[in-house]
Amino acid sequence: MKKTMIGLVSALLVSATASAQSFIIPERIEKLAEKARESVNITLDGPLLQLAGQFLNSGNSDERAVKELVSKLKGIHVRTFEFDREGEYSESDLEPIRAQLKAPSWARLIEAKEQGEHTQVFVKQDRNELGGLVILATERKGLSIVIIDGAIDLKRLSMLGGNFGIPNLNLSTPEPVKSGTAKDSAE
Amino acid sequence: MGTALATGTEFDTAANPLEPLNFEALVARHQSMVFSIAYHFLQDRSVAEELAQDVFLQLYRHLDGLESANHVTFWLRRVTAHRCIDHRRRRRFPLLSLDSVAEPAAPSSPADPLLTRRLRGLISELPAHARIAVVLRYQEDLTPEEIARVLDRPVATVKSQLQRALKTLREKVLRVVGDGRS
Amino acid sequence: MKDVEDIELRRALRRVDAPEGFADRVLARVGQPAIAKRHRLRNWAIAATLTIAAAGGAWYRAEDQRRVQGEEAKRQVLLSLNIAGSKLKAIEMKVNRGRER
Repeated sequence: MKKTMIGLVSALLVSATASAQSFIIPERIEKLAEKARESVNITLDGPLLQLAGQFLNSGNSDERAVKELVSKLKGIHVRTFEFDREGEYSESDLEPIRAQLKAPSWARLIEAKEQGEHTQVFVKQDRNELGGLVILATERKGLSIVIIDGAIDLKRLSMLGGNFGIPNLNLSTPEPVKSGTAKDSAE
Repeated sequence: MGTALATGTEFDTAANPLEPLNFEALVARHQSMVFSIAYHFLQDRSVAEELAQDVFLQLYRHLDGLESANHVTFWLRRVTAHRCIDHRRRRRFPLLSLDSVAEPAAPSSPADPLLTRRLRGLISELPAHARIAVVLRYQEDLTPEEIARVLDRPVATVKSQLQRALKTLREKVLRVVGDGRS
Repeated sequence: MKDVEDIELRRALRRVDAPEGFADRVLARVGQPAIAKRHRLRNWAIAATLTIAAAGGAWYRAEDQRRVQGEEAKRQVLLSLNIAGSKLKAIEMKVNRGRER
């Protein structure tokens, strides 16, 4: 009972702060890197994204498209982990992230489950445009979290289909799942 | 903090080798070591200086508890390492800071300066404990056993982290060197 | 191979000088007089020349460091979009497979 109460309060606190500031990656997720065979940790804030933009080649159509996409972003955060064994992380490790995705501004766009792999894509609605994207991909021996903060243009992202491995998704105007269902499916 | 070590001083001073006069000598002697550990871990010059200053302030307050020159060195490495890890934990989004634009002075003649810089960048992407282990191994030339004592972790864990870190660095260096986009 | 690796890592992680005046700032915080007073340069012409040369060198080093950081930031942007794209592609394939069944 005490654990449940603590978990609920933590989730509420995280939810309360999520709307006021950027997405938070909990420490328990960061610590997974110590157990992982391989991990990727990318953290790019506004100034670094601007700097990267200065080094993307406007003369190259692919890089120009990335440059335009990145120009409206506030941050990109990627955490991927590959483990030697199953069971190196649990659903409870992901609870603080899922709790943030239960905030009204977040909605699940698409979800797929197959053979021990579960991928969910969430978008954040900011007035009439998208204010963020989260990809949560869990596997038996792996975990990937991608957080893109800022005015993400899914159409522009989809136009990069085939480039840098970004697929064509025909994502013009997203029709996300309504918040009530998203709360259920964020678990 | 830390276990008492066998005595064996390198300081040929008077009766109390750790009186305030020698604190100055300790700062002069160890400032490069402490700052370098912090800088290579954090890749941020100004934060590294702040952290290094705090380490020496802590040393000043704990001088009475230290027994020898070796103990001081061990203590400084341990406190610096733990402060680096704690700093990393406190930051929600650890950033590659633009403050570290000017590289600190160091002995020159790298064979491949670009590789050296990229290696530093890749090291800064390692998880905190692996990163500090690599810094202590290759900056301070400590053995895995010595690193384990400094970090208060099992030797097997340190060895495993070092092996994984080197494997990761090896692969990332090959990827960066072979990446036509960069 | 391991020897080369060791050499490169030691080179990348060799100790660097603490910032100028570091010791003075530490001593100031504990209330002790600065060391720097004992190291004052007497020959101002030499000091001025060294300062100008150092400033020029520092500027080039700063520009160089900025370029390295910019290229690294660009690499990370491309890598992160690559990862995002591969995850999106994977889910697209799964969804399409589900629709076909």
